[in-house]
Formats: sequence, structure tokens, C-alpha cells
Amino acid sequence: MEWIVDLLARALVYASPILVAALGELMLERTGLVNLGVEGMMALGAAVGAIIGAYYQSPLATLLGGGFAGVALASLYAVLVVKAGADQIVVGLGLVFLGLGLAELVGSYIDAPSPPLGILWYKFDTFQAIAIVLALLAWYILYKTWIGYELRSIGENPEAARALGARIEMYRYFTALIAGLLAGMAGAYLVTGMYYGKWFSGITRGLGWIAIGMVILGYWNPLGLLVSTYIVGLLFVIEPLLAAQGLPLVIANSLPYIAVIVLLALIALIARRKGIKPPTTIWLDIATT
Amino acid sequence: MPSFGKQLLGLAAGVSMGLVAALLLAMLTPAGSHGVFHAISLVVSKPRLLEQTVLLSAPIAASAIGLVPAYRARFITIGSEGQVLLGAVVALGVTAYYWKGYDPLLVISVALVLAAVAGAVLGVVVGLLRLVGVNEVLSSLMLNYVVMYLVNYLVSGPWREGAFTLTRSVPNEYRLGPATILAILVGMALVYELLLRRTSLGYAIEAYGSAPRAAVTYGVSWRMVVLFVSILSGMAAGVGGAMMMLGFQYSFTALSAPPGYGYMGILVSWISLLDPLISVGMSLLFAGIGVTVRLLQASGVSFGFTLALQAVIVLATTTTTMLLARKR
Repeated sequence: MEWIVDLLARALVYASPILVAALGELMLERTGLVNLGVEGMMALGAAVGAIIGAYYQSPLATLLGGGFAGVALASLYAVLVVKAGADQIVVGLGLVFLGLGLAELVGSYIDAPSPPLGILWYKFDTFQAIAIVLALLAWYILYKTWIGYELRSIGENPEAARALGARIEMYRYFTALIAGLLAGMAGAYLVTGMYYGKWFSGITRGLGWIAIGMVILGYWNPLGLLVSTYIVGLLFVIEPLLAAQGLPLVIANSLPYIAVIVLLALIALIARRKGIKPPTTIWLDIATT
Repeated sequence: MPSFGKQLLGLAAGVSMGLVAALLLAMLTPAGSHGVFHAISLVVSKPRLLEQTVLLSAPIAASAIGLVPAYRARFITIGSEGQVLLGAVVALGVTAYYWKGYDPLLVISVALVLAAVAGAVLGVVVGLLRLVGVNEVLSSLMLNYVVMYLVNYLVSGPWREGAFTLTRSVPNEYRLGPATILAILVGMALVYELLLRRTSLGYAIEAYGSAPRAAVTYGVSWRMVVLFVSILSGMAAGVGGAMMMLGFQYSFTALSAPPGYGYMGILVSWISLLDPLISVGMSLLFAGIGVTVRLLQASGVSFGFTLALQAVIVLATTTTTMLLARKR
């Protein structure tokens, strides 16, 4: 029994950074934009967080440093896409590689581990608690406040929202920067929470991309996101267990990634059969034709 | 859509601005300004390093060429990274494990063809998933990681040689030189250029990319376009992977992160105005940056940093082409 509880608790170690990064992306996508650069913002957040956390010897500094790095990259996105109207796909992909590359540069200056995040209660740390609270808060803002109402209307029909006087640009700037902050902090958590203060090259291993997938899987709803990220978190946790049971390593390691593909296919099929349209104009060309 | 001349102007301006920014960024590395300038002067003057640049450009250019039809049809796959790796796996398997000892021309041809097939198969998986409704950006990215874990499995298991996690090497007689590689790349670019400009498939891709709804109304099959461009991108990246293995990689060790050549191809494809021949030229520039960073590795700069320099150039180019398109 003990090991099951342990497993369920440890799934949050993976689920919470994916959840936090995905929450920011969800808010941005609800305004009708997409930033594919999550992986880059997480990677840079991890490296910058690691170096700042090591300097100040504080896990809080790690998280804040990571958040700062995420905001820096996200402001590039905000200027190029929201302000200047550049192609969001190209800019997003550019940010992925800029983030990954800069993370390597920053990482080469890291000479000490940063302190690990402490346990808050039982086996849970502060970040995991914040992640869950953030998801609930995001749900509340989206569905119970005027801000959320405006935000959702922008994603569903920008022209109509503009006609009704919603300040589309302001919402897009704001959510883009929030998405950067959260992705950067999620990246920093990989250092201070998941790997006990250690940074290494390739630390994000695609988690930023998985976060983007989770937004679709949770169907652009923070509560849906809570469920979908927890499932993927579990998959990451059982991966080494399956390998220990004799499952070939290539299959065990690939399991979370393949599961995301399968789940995305499932949700697409269900949505098509029931005739559900995504609540935002982004990715719309996939649902049509 | 601005005129081609204006786009070229934007490209030139963006690349020069981006290069300056990249240079400034590179000076922040432990190598410092002196190290960076020294490395650049070596790369442009030493024939051996120029040859290395051509070799390194192979997987970058091949994936970029393959992505041109896909991106023109707004099919945003980023699976070239995994397809390059899979092509390299196949090429290593053919030359070092299963077809060893036969005539070089035969073995190299088999390696290239099988790598193309493997890449195409991986590509069409992404296309088929898209038809079911799975976003291609995500599915292709997930598959990149699956292929990376496949490499690690082979390296530590069935293909392992000796005490270290290292495979056999490609035998000398099956290795490719820079001249052959450049010829293959230019040939590929011409074939893809012709395909886009002179075939009904090319027209269908163009039509779908610029006005999807209108194209579908006029009888362009969306499914066929998606399947074809996903196969075309996979094939080219697979060949690129084979050229990488036979041109400079020669063997595999365990990977902690994807090596990035397919990703560089994505960046190249975007800034080359989605044109196959320009992609070859841009790949040489990007490979040159890669070789320069390799020289800096001795002073503690990691090869992954190359991506940051290239991304700066892409972002600068996106900005300038956009600004030029707006001014009348």
C-alpha cells in the first residue's frame, strides 16, 4: 500500500511543472494566440534559475530567477507577435531554440548546485501546492469573473470582442508575459524540485512541448488541465518501474510521449464525434475539414 | 504577400543584423571576443574547416529542403529532428552491421534509399495522425523523443561495442566526402524546386497553403496534400540523417538531448523564404556557425549554443521581412 501512496504523491513532481507551464499557455491560447516557445522558456528558466539560486543559496531565488528568464523571452514574443504582428509559429519556434541555446550558454557558467526546495507537508513541496491553487484560481478567473469572460470572448471571436470594446492587445500582452513567468518558474522547479538542485543539459526533455499538448488534452479548461497533467505525471513516474520489471528501456522511456499522442488522438476523435469545437480560434484549422 | 525581391532584401537585412547580434551574443561566452574572432577567421580560411562546414550542412539542408513543401502547405511538422536521427540509425545499420563487405556504391545507395524510406514512414505517421485530428507540431515532437530513446537503446543494447556505450563506426570505404554531399544536396533542392513549380502536386500545395478553404472548394484534396508533404519532409530528412552518419558522425553514443540538426533545418527553412535552393545556401551559413561553435567548445561553450545564435538570426529576419512587407 505504502508504495502506491508514494507513487501517487511522486506523480505530482512531474505533473506540477507541466501544469504550471500549461496554465500560462492556456490563458494565452484563450486570447486566440499560441506561443510554441514554452520548451525554450522552461529551458532558459531552469538554467537562469539554477545560477541565481546557487548564488543566493535559496530555492525561492531559483524560482524567481527562472520566472524572470521566462518573462524576458516572453516579452520578445509579445513585442514581435502582439505588437508587430509577426508569424506566431515562426517566433514561437525561434524562442524554443533561442531558449535551448541560451540555456546551454548560461549552464556552462553554473559551478555549484542550488539548494533543493523543502517539503511543505507529507511528501509535497510548496511548488506543488502553488500549482494546484493556481489551477483553481485560473478556473475561477476564467469562468467566474468579468476579466475571464472578456478573455474567453477574445479567443472565441476576436472581431466581436473588439466591437464590444474589449482591449484585445492588453489581454494578449498580459497573458503572454504571465505564460512566460509561469513557464520559466516551471523550468526552475525542474532544478530545485525535481532534480534536488542540480542542472544538466537537456533537463526539460520535452516537458514544455508536453505542456502545450496538455492544454489541448485538458480542452482549454484549468480543471481539465489538472486531470490531464496528473495522468502524464503518473506515466513519468511508472516509467522506471516498468523498466525495472523488464520492459525494454526504449518502450518504457517513450511511454509518456506515445501516451500523449494516443490521448490527443482520442480526444480529437471524441470531439469530432460529439461535434465539440475548441473554445478558441487557435488550432481551428485542425478541427475543420 | 510582398514581392520576392522585397523578401530577398528583407532576408539580406535580417541575416546581416542577426549576424551582428549573434556575434555580440557569442562574445558573452567564456571564449570572449578574441576567441570568437579567432575561430571565425579559422573557419573561413582553413580548407579542412570549410569541408567540415559542407559536411555539417548536410542534415540541416536536407531537412530544410524537405520542410519547404510542408510549410508552404501550413503543415507545421517539427519531426525532422527524429527523422534525421532515424535516417542516421538506418545508415549505420546498413553500412556497419548488416550489409558490410559489399561494393561501396551499392551499400551507400542502399543506405540512402532505406534512410529515405524510414524517414518517410516516420513522416507519414505524423500525417496520418493529423488526418485523425492530432496536431502535427505535438505529435512530431513526441516522436523525436521516441527516436532518441531508440538510439539510446541501440547504443546500450544490441549495437553496443566493447565496454562503452558506443556503436561500431561506419567503415572507411562507405564514408561520404564534401563534394558528393554537396552534389546530393543541390540535386535534392532542384528536384523539390521542380516538384513545387512544375507538378500538379506543387500547385495543390501552393493553393492549399495560401487559401485552404478556397482550395478545398475547388477540389484540392486536403488529405492528399497532408500525406504527400509529410512523406516529402520525412524522406528528405531521412536522407539527411544518412548523410550525417556517412559524412561526419560515423557512430552513435548515448544522447541526453536531441542533437539539433533537424531543428536547425526548421529554422533554415523558415528564413530561406521557403525556397529549396536558398535553403542550401542558408544551411551552409548555419553549418559555418556550428563549426565555429565547435572550435569554441575547447573554451567551454557547448554545441547546443549554436541554436541560440541561429535563432537570433531567424528572429531578426522575421522582423525585417515583416517590416519591409508593411511599408508601402
